Amino acid sequence: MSNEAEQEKLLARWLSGELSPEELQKLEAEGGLDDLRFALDDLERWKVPDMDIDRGLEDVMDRAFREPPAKQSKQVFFQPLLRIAASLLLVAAAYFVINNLLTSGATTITTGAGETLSHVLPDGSQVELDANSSISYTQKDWDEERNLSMEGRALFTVQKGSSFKVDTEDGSVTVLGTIFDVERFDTDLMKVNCYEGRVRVDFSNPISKELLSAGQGLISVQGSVSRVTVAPQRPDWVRQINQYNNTKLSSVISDLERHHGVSIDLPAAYANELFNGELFYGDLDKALDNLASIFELKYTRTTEGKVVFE
Amino acid sequence: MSTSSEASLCDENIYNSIYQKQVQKLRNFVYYKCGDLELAQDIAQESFVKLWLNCATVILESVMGYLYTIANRMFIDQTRSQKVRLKFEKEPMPTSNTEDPYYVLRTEEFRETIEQTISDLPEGQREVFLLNRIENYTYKEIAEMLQISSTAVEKRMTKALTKLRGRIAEFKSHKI
Repeated sequence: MSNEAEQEKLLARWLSGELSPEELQKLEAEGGLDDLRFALDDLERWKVPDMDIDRGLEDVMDRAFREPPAKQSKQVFFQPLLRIAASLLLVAAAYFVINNLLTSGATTITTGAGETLSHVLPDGSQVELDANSSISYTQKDWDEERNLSMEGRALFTVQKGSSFKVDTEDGSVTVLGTIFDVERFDTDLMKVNCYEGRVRVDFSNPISKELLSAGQGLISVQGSVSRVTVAPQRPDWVRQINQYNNTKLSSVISDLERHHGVSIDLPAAYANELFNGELFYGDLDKALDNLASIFELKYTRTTEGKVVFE
Repeated sequence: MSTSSEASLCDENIYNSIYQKQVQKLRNFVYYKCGDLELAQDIAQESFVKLWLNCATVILESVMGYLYTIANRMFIDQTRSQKVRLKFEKEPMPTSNTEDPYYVLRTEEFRETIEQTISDLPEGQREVFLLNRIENYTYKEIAEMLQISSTAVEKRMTKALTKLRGRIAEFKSHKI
């Protein structure tokens, strides 16, 4: 190696302790090394002011919410698949035209009494829809804006990407990739639970904003918001289980009535009996059998949609 | 194509721990280039926003390269500030007496001279020097980070050190 090239790296290599004794001798002859070392030692205790890391992270998430939706990336395969692609082109074109015609309008998915449904959105995000609920979105616009409206109760497992917005009459919930559920069966009563990631809830009346992280939830009753803690796993209702804790039997019965759209007569004497524990309510007969055996009751299903306990 | 390894950046715990470990280093990296702490922090934050939004397509192993590339590109997009004036936090200088061989150098005035000398270095030398001296990256790591050769890093470093050595000698000659 040329002497000059080595000379250009000498001080750097002195600092990293890579010099040979001869090289070091040569460098020392130039002088000033001790003073330089002194300055560098002092420099070791210099620092740039510390950042507030926690606030910084909040800020990143806040900025991510405001980011305009990213264009869906298109994947293009070249050479090896070119020939197959060409032969498939006509089929694909036909499919595209038909698909486009079919999907230009709004998609609405509704569940009736006793019905639950799992639906996959165009980007692969999943919705678990509870009974008596509905979601509606425009498939055509989904790539540009992930926005849907809902009533009732639904659990969302959202693919990462641009913001994902759920509108209800009481306000909207905005998220990035995350798992959360929204419940709004009745006017002025909205519940949001976040199981993974982070969501933002924007209430319309009065206008206010709440940020939820995993394990946090909120209940809004007539515009007044209170916070709750949620277990960081998927909610019981997806498995069609209700947890009851000293709950009046009449309330348990009302839940069953609402979910299955049936009317259930309970003798007045049993209305205030207390029920504790889990109830799988997805199957009406099983739920009724379960309650009947616990409270030593008998029931008959008289006409369609009518249950009488005695 | 997006690769989903088991440990994904979309996992908030993983993302958060990378943020906590790296954001300040990333900010300082930009700071050494531009000498504007606020701008540096903004660029670091925006880089992490991009990382979050693209978490599904960035491979965990290459996350640092991704962040530094993004931050560097954002920095280039900004108009480069004409004059860089870096400011560091320092512990107070311990007092000494004339018997101390470094008596002349153990002053705030000397530190200001060093600070000014570093600020006045060309951008390439300045970032190499500070990434090594303050952030403790090795020459090899810096070469990867800046996508230049190790030789180039060592040359820049030597130039910076030569300049510093010269300024120190000058400082002393004025004081004695």
